[in-house]
Amino acid sequence: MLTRNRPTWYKPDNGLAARMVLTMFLLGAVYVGFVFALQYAFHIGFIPLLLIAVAIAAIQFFFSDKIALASMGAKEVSEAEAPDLHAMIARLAAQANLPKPRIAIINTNLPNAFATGRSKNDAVIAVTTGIMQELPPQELEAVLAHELTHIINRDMLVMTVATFFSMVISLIVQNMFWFGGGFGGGYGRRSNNNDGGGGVIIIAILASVIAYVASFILIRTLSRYRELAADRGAALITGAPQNLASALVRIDGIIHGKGGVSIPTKDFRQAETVNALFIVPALKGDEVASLFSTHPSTEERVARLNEMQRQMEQAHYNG
Amino acid sequence: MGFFDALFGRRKPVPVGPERLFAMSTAQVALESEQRLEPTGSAGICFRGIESGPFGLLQADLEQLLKIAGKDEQVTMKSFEDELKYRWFVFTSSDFQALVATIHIVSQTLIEKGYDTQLLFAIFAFKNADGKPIYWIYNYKRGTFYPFVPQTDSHDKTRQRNNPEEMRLATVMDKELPVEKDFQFWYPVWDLQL
Repeated sequence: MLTRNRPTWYKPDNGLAARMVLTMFLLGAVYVGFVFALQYAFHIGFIPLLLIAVAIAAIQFFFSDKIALASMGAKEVSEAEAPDLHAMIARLAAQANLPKPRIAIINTNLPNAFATGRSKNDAVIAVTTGIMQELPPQELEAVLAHELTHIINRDMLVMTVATFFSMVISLIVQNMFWFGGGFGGGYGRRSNNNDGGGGVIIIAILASVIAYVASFILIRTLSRYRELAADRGAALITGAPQNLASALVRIDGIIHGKGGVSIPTKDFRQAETVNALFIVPALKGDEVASLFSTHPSTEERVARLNEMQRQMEQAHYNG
Repeated sequence: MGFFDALFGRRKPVPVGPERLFAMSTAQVALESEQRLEPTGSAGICFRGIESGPFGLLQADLEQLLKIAGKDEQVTMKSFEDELKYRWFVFTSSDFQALVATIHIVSQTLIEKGYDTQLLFAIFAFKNADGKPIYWIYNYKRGTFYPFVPQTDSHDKTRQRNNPEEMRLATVMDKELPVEKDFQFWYPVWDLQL
């Protein structure tokens, strides 16, 4: 995704995506460094660190929905303010056997939607004004069903737990080396003399960084699986995988312009001169980017939805 | 397309192929029985304008050809230029197999006469159970078919198309037809006169 050509008016977005990835990465590195420094400076043991980790995870779990909504500039809307959207979500929620979530609107042209909240009973779905304008009703419905599936699947909780464990892993790794030195013939005790201590610290730092990098990749991989699961759920709720597939392609086209996978709106005869230049698609360098991305590529998601559609129709003819 | 071809901007000439058109004659069974798409009896070939002199000769040749080929099946031909200055041959027949064969032989003739680069697409018209039009468009340069499902009427200038239905059709017809996998080639064709 990161190396794709984008139209000029979206160019800054490319940088933004890269910056966000870098920010998340650095945030985590800083976090590990911070915990490590705490441990080093104050000789805090493993149990207090675990408690700190639990406290941070709890804060994350209980406030991240509010933080997410506030940072996106999402404004909760009443039934009177957005009757159509409320009606659509109420219908889908009833079908999915969910209490109707609260609904928020973000005022931006970028087509996007997200779900947040601790549980089924305390969930919010936020949609942008852009997605409501760009998607036909059946495709908007498919996107909302995707977000509802995130709520059903408790993805907020799953991802919080996953991040929590990644935090714990890095703590364990640090402590293993910290105390491991002690087990290995009292080397740790002698580390009060500067040379030996430096060596242990460097190993500990390296280990925690490696643990962090590994968990960063793993958490993102997990996130991609949750997305595919939500796609599947959405297809099941709406009974039409192609509605979501079409929405994904349309959104991809709007966000990435020519580099996206959109279905053209230009007539074949008028596009013909342009067409000649596009016979071979631009080189794609998605492999590395996809390793670090929280969402699978549109191509992969569409391919899976197509497969679902195929299976559905096959079952229909065989049954 | 290798890395160096991309680097140096080399592009292999694209072979123009009408051969895969024949996939439509077998696919029609599945289209009709499983998807309830019925051929309307019309199909067309669209190509870039050819000067009137050579075109007159070409048209006479093709009419002669149809007369010989269509002794058993009745295929009628009309030709016109659309608002975008593209030439059309539109064929009508109640026999779908004859229609596919005609599209193929006319495409072949155009290619033999050196109009291969002018050929744009072939199109087959169907209607679904509700009587709404659905088209399958054949891209000669890529040798692939893709569905085109207009959502709005022809006089409606908002020109909405039913992308989910197109994606569904492409998916379920994947085995019977060489379906275009790259969505960016799914060009619509509006103001159809067939």
